[in-house]
Amino acid sequence: MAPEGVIIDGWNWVIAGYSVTVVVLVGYTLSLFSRYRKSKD
Amino acid sequence: MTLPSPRRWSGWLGLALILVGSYVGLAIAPPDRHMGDVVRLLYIHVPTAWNSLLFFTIAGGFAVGSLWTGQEKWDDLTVGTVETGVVLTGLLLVQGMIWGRPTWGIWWSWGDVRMVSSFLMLLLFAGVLSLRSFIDDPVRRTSWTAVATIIAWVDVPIVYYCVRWFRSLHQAKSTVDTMDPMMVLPMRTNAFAILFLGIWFLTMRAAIEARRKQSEDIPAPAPVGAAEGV
Repeated sequence: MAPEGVIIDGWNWVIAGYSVTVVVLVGYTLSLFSRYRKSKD
Repeated sequence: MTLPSPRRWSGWLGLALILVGSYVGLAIAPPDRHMGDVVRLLYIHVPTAWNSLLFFTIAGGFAVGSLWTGQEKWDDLTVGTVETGVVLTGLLLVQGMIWGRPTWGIWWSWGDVRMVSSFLMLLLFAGVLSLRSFIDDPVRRTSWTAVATIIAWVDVPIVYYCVRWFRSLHQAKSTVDTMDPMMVLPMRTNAFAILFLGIWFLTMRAAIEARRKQSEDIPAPAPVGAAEGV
């Protein structure tokens, strides 16, 4: 029996790991765009 | 004929590959017999780890080029590659903790040599960027960055080979012979995806560094009175 809060066996961890990956990669991309634009001005 | 700059195409290629690799890894690849669906985290964690080691090794090469030639472009590329490696290493440590909790029952172990050496690698290369920010003289900043990058690189082979030298939580390297082909495919696709995304990151960061230096070279405007001969 899966503990309360678990979506499917293991899937909550998978979603957490991929979410962190998306946040970091998109966040760093936006940071680079922002710094590039500032360096251009 | 000149090839277009990697900054124009590598990001789009990396994005396309990571979408394909993630789709195969999340929707098509089978669950592992022991880990279940948690194995799908390895299709992104392992490629991130491979690329962090690769980018730090490339940074070491750029640092040697910077010391050897003294040209600014090598320094720009060193900074871009080190920063990309730092982002990937931070990411791989968080991904590893999220995978380790359901698999090993722990978020972190100071007894695992690969975890500790990877964390040390993050600190060392973050230290390179930090050191750089404290030096105002451009010549000293370039040479100190290169030397610090080469010193920090010493930890990279330790991270790679430590699983052969010490027995701890991380297993020795797996081979494709022991994996289902549908597990190998997302791992390799995501490895190339992160490689191309990383190339875009480093070229963008190097371009930002080059522009920052150009703005440093522009002399400060003279006082109004001086221009009028007052």
